[in-house]
Amino acid sequence: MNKNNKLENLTLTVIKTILILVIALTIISVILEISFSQDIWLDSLRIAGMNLLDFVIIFLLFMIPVSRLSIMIREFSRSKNHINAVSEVVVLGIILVLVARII
Amino acid sequence: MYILSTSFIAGIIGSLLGLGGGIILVPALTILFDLPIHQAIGVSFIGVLVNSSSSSIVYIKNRITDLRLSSILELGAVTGSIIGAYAALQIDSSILSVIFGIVLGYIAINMYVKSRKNLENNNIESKSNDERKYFDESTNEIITYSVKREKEGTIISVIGGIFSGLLGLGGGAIFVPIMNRIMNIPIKVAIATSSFMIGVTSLVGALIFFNNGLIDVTLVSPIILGIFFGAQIGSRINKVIDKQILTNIFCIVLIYIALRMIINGLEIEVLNL
Repeated sequence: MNKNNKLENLTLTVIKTILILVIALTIISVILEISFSQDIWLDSLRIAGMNLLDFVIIFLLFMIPVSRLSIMIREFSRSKNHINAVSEVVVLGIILVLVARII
Repeated sequence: MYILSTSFIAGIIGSLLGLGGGIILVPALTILFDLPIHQAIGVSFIGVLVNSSSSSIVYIKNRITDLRLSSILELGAVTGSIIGAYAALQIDSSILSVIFGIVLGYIAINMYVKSRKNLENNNIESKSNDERKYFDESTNEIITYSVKREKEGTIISVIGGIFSGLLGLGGGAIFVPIMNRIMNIPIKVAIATSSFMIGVTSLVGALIFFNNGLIDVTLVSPIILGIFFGAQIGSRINKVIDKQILTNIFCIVLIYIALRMIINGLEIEVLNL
């Protein structure tokens, strides 16, 4: 039960932290867009066809499932739930392949 | 600003009906903003990802999500999502619009029927060594259950994944019945686990669509904010509103949207001939 609680708490903390960060950055992005100052400094640095702030927002959003998959793999391996751990490794592997295709 | 308001409304309705924002967002973007359906599905994945993360926080906090079960079903769901997303890229937008309309119509009718009769399987028997528990706040008791037919559930969850990847929906309308009816999971655990799982299926769909240039980055920020705050408001309204009346009203709205999507798809098809 304690192991399960630890997994839940870790997953909860990670999802919550990244989501709060994403929402905060998105609010900043919208404010900058409305104030028309975005073009001046954010657009000067573009990654994958988007400005830095948009890139960070999308990157962090995509990191939510990736982070929680990593936590689950670690915790399932520690608690010797090998089937669950292997299943999550395969899912994470698929996601990393898809990310590699973008890069 | 219009996209932000639309996502906000989609977030409220999605949260009220427990279906996620994609079900309203995709038709709204195609019908109201004339966005090609492939692009609407692409940004819908972002909305679903936000919705899934937001609702997972609440469900994990309440200790309803079955993380072990989700890890098993995710494998099938992710496989399905890849098949669905790649199929969506190959399918013509008019046909995709018709498929979306048919699935939406099915979900609306299914939701109406369920609201009339209580079809959910809540009489969960637990006769296994692998017993799992959760605390049900509404009845104030600890519910014990055990997972049955795990292999079959994983295989069938591929179907849920296909619909998720194909149409940019969460897939909860398929995952929840699979878990509840086939795998003997209590409905509340099924909903919580499905919400948690669709974060991964929507990420897979988003990555495939992103790689094909079908996610308009300028739409991402308003959709994230709209869906997030809409879902927060929706979950609060949910507690004070009459669910039966609400379901009936939205069933009619969803059927109307489904018909519009089918007609739109058929019109494009006729114009192309």
